[in-house]
Amino acid sequence: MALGTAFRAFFGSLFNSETSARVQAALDGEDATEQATPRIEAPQPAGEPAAAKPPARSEALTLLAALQREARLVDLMQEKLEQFSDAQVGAAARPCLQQSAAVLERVFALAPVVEQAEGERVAVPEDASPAAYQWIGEGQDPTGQVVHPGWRATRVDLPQWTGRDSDARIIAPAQVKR
Amino acid sequence: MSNAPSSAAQFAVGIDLGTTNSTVAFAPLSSEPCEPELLPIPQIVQPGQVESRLALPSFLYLPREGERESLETSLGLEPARGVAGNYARDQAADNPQRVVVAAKSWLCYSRQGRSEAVLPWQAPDEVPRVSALDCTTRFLEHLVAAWQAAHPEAPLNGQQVVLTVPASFDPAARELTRQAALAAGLPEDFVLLEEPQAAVYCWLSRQGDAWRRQVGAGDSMLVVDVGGGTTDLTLVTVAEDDGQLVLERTAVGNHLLVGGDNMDLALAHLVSQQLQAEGHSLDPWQSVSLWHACRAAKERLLAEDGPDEHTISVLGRGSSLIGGTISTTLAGQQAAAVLVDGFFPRCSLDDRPQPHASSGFQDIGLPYESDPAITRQVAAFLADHTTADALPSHLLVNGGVFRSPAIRDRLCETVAAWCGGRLTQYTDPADLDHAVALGAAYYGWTKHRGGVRIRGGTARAYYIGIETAGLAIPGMPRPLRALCVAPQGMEEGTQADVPSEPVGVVVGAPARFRFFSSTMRGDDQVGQKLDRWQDDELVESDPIELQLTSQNAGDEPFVPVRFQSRVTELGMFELWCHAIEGEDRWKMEFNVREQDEAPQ
Repeated sequence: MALGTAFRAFFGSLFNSETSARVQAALDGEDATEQATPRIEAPQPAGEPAAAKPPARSEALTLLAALQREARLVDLMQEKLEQFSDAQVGAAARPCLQQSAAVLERVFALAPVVEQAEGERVAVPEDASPAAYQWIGEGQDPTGQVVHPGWRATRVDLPQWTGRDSDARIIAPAQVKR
Repeated sequence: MSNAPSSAAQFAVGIDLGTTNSTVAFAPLSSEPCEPELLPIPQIVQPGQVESRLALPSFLYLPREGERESLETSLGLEPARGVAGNYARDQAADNPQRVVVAAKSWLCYSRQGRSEAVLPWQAPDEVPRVSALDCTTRFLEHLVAAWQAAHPEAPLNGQQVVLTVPASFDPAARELTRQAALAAGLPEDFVLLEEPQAAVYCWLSRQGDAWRRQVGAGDSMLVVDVGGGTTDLTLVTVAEDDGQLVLERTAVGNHLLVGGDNMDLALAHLVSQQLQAEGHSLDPWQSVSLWHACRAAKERLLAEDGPDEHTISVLGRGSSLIGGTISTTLAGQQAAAVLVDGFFPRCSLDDRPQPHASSGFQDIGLPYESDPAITRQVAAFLADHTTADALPSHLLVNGGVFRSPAIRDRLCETVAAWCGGRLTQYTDPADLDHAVALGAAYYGWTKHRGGVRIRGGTARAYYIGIETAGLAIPGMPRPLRALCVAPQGMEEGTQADVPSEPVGVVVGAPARFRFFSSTMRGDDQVGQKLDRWQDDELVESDPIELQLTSQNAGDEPFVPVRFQSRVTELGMFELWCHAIEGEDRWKMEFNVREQDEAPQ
């Protein structure tokens, strides 16, 4: 209830200047009762003070910025690969991939979905989610052979965006020498 | 609950303020056993992006005016005064003129830079300057803000805080560290702990009560702590007191400006020469990439079952990433020759550091060690502080460089050969980068909950210089006599009256005394006068001074005083003057400003 009101107050304020003025008045403690009583308590749902504010920047871009900053992954992928020999691509890819792996490890701490290695047998829980376990082939046996152990993030620890909204789509700055 | 200073404290907090990385560990005082954990430290990684890491790189970037807004964080630090951490370290490649590095080394380098704003060293005029003291304060402010953000219910100034310093820091450097810490918001009663001792406390916390079976009375433990920029040596001996084993820190080494970063740089130097011979040259940005690549190569090549060779690639700048990539292969033997033989050469106990070996680290204004051979520094340390029948029986190594078994084994074999082969070595590879902070937090915990303590008192004996009376010879300085004001091993919470003739302190002008310390003259007692000494026995640091006004002295032109030295409960050394007539006492202060005027 409170959360829903918070969203309404937020989007209402964002797109309608009249609503915005009423919410402002409510926040300032002025008497707004004749408009809508619940809005007075709305702005601060417990534990979710920023619930109404959408992130200024997509977390996907934040991750891409981290991969570019630490591993130059975007630079590598934007190269015209056909111009270079396999050996040249390999030499550049090795450090880039190693550093990308280090970023993913820090941010997501990747782990397989199942402990068993490829080729080993694993028991699939009866209520297993198809997102976590994918059957290949038919049968009733609740166990099977691991073809791919899967991947999952054991944490999500992305950098926080504190920049201006107008910079929200910058992945890497242009560097200019003086 | 003996002498627990902050009775309402909820946490023991250990802060390792390192030359290249700072870390914070903490443990709730209510939990037992004590299992300290590391505090994640939010920091700028790129303008507008904040990420938490377990270490705060000890680099300070002084941003241009237009950049400041993008470097603000929710920690509430003021970017105009400098930005610490990851982004600052990365900027050391592109904008080295705006980045202060190794502030901690400047803090203990007594010529300049401690409280004068001269850093970044040799920066162009448009860059604001800061002092090593400002810089240290900034790092600590950042750590304090990180703590407050994570633990708003437990303000840091109410916790049991332990801050570590190198054992080799002199009293003036400790005093500056204390000033920075108080300015940054540490509690008044925070404790200073020597870094190698903190490493021992970490070891003790891992052993639990088992340590009493690991060592026996008469044993001694050599602690070799190789940080990013410095190496610290300490000897801890085990004795028996009333049937209980007690630990005592009996000796510390001098401040050695050689550390893990020098090793990575040495390897990078080798590789860049190799690249040059192959016709490639590196720009400064690539040089820093090379440095990081060499750190990774070092760990790979010197690992157990490491490969015979390792490919080092430095990516091209800008859009020519693949076309500009430079690669070369580094053989394991080459790396071992540079790192193991260069920094840890086999040597005998009689070998000494070579004063004029070339090192190539002279260019940033700091007096880097002329001989980077750590084994020879250890040999000199042991020769100065032990006898042949009391050589160490245990070796504790600390610092990231010892992740390499080749380096660890070389140091251990070399020291074991001196000690007749009986040497037990301890390393916990998981703790090598964090042992100092973890050990400091454990030490804070033991102050409340009890546990074994390392005794030690002052690491050095302290002296003031007094010019002898007698006929002055024009153009010649008067002969100098050193008066011992504190013996080695003076315990925390004690004081000593210095027996001496009355000394007249002139009113209205600073009375300044030259100040010396010695790690080698262990037998000198307070009041001992030295007429002569070997050059390397006494090390001069900043002078200590006192200025009395006529309010202090009435109408007298000078006040006759005697000295009293104190070591506070918190480990700070203080020298006081007290008037022979009356009860007045004055604390003397270290003068850490640049010495442009000759002492009177």
